Amino acid sequence: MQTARSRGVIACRTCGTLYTGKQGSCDVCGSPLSSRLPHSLQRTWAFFFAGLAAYIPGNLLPIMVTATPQGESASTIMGGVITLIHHGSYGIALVIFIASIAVPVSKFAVIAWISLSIQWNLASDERSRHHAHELVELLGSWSMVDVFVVAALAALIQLGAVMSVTPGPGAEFFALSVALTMLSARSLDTRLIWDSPDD
Amino acid sequence: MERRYDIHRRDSASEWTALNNEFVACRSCDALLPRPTVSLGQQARCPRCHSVILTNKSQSAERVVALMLASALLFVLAVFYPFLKMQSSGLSNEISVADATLVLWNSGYPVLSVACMLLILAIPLARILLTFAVALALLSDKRVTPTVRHMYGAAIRLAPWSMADVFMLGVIVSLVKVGQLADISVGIAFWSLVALSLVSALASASMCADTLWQRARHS
Repeated sequence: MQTARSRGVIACRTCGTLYTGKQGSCDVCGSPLSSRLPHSLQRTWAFFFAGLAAYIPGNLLPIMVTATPQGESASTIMGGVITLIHHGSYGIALVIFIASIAVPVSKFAVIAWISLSIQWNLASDERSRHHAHELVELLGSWSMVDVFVVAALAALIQLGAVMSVTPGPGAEFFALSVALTMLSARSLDTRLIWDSPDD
Repeated sequence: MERRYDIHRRDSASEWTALNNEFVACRSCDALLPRPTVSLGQQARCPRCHSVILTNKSQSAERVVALMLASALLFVLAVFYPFLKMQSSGLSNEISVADATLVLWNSGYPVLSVACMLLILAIPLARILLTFAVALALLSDKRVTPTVRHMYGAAIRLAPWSMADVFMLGVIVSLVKVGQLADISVGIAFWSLVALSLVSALASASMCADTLWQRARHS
């Protein structure tokens, strides 16, 4: 397959404009130009491990603290899902489980799989890796939903002594983790998936 | 038809125009292909990775200008009108959209508060204004100035960080959670944000960026 790189052409990733022998930023849309994102894999791994490091306290620390006259109760993300199941809100429990647990965990797995397959030249289907990356980019921001749930609940439930909700430290770590994994996925240049090792 | 084209000959302006008129590269996998002609309402996909490489959408600029006018109006309603109100045991609490981010600040999470303000309000607003300006420029037959096209480049790169729609899903989830313990009423801002999420999705689908870039390359 003839690629832009094999013909000495650089294509802008934002607007698709083609250049020969140009560096810096695209004249048409102003985005930075590169044939392949510089240090793509290093950046991907750096954001990956930072995201993973933030994901652990994001799940272990409470994201929300509820205070009632009976006392305070702190809940983690998984704790919130279990409470929802106990109340019979299965649909909402599923939304939170998918957005906060299933998607982030599969994101880590997919990014690691693609990066390792590029690094070690593993024979693996290009198209399925490409689609997996597209899916990760598409779903990335939806993992923020639980952080917004906490923000909305904390703003809304301010009924003085009767009941009040405050955000917990887990929310901040979790939001950080989502942002870092989004950056990790964006740092991974999909064109590397299609490069053959002998180029 | 069979004009051989030496893409290694260095950049004179006409060489560059010819390169871009005759070839297109897949932005996702870097395949270099002869530029296909795409008829109105159609799109061309990369034969290798199946990503969309060129689009040609009908009445793109008119639609986007209309949708962005609607977005701007909905955004103003969403910010200045009441968002949610809850009542329980004789107490009541009414909040605006901004309160949902301010509560994080007041609870000791200033960084998270600013981040949420950016994701829910500032970035969506920036995208609306940038896209509006670009669509207006496309609608008038003037040349596409560097400012306008760089603005749209920025709008595209900001897109993943625009989370008003994710916020609305979060709000709906929290309403279901609270619904069991209190009476909730939703205000104008709530419906405005729901509509804004839909209008934004429609605008993204209507915008024909390739028309903009091709015109920019010829101006």
